[in-house]
Amino acid sequence: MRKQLFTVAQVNRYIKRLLEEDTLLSGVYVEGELSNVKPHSSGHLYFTLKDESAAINAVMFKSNARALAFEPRNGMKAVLFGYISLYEKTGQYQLYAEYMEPAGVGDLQAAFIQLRDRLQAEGLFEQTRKRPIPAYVCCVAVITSPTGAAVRDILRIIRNRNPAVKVVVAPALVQGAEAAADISRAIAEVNEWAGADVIILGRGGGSMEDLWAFNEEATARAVAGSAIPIISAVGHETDFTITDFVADLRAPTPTAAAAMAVFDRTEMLSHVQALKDILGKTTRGLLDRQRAAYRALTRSRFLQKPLEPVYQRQLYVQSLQKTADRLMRDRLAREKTALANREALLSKVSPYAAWKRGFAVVRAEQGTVLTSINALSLGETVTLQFQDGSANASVNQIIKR
Amino acid sequence: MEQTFEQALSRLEEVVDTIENGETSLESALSLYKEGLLLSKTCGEMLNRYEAEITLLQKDAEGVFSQKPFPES
Repeated sequence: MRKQLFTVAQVNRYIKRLLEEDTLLSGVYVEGELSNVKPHSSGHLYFTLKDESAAINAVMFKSNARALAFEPRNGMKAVLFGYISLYEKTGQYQLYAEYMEPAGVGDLQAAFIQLRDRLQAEGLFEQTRKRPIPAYVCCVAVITSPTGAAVRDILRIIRNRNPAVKVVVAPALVQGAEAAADISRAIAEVNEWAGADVIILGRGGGSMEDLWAFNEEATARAVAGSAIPIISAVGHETDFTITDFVADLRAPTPTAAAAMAVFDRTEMLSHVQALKDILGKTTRGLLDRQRAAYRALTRSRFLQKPLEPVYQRQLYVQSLQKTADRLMRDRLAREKTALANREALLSKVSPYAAWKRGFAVVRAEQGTVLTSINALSLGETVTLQFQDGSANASVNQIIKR
Repeated sequence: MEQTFEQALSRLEEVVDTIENGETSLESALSLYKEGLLLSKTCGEMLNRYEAEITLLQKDAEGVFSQKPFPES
């Protein structure tokens, strides 16, 4: 009796399905050593993952490989995450890696997070305890490896920006197990020497292990305890270490740190020159305004003809005088007219007006005025008063009307 | 350098501010102007001073500090 007959393709497909349906193999962490690392022209990464007694083929596709933060190299121990499947064409099963990190990085990251959280809880990262970097430093202390690119970059930038600033290099190990202690020693010594206004603490780029000294507690505490402000400049722009959090200022690179530490001499010279210019312009402006004000004053009507107000007052008084005179004359004229009128009226009603018409005032000897013939007696002497004198007369005849 | 330069610069800025505010009498403006000119000259001189040296800090066994020129390779 013959068992069922399958093609190779069918067998491979079956095995592939078996592998892909297995829960464990669909997402598994595997640790091993990288070997036969072969980056393909397609961008995919082919390699073997092995340990002392076994090996497995592995591939990491371009999309995942591109995201790697490090360069996978033969002999490197790594932790990978991915799924196991079968490449049907060859019948080869392999680990399809989706994520890879150097072995031990996981531990390092855990330690980093732990220390970071602990120190943060203590308040070591608080913005309020960070001191400002002095604006006008005399002397910069640089704690770093005396060889290497970082120190040369820092020195070059400082020289370019302001050659008058003194630089003191305090050498220290920046990598390895003894680095943290050595960095702490350097910080303590620079503080003891007390000649620097600011410290730049840094090193060039590297892996997390390379930079590890700047994530250790001893370094962090030394930075926190420094009386002199510290600018930390560790690794590349994207590297953040605990030292960066504790420092008074973080610079993304050593050259940036140098720029932050010293002011640019040329810029400062321009600034001083600009101030001088404003000084001159403003003072000249003030003087000009004063002169203009003075000229305006001297041109004023009052100063040109100072007596004019006096003349004007004189004119005013004169006009008042004229008015007063006129009013007086008018009044006088009116009074005269009134008087003449009254005189005329008076003479019209005056008894003495009758004199003009030929009447005379007849008075008895005693002087009483006689108005009737009854008061007369024959032979009596009467006085006839005329306008221009009087005459005595005697009564000769009395005729009744 | 720090004390005097910083002081000179901030006094210069103060002087310029005061004159710009225009509240000063002509007399005090002129005296401030003179002071400002002197300060800007001083600042300029301090900025153009010598080139400072670069040294390596060392501490010997007795705890005594010394500096030797930094080898710029």
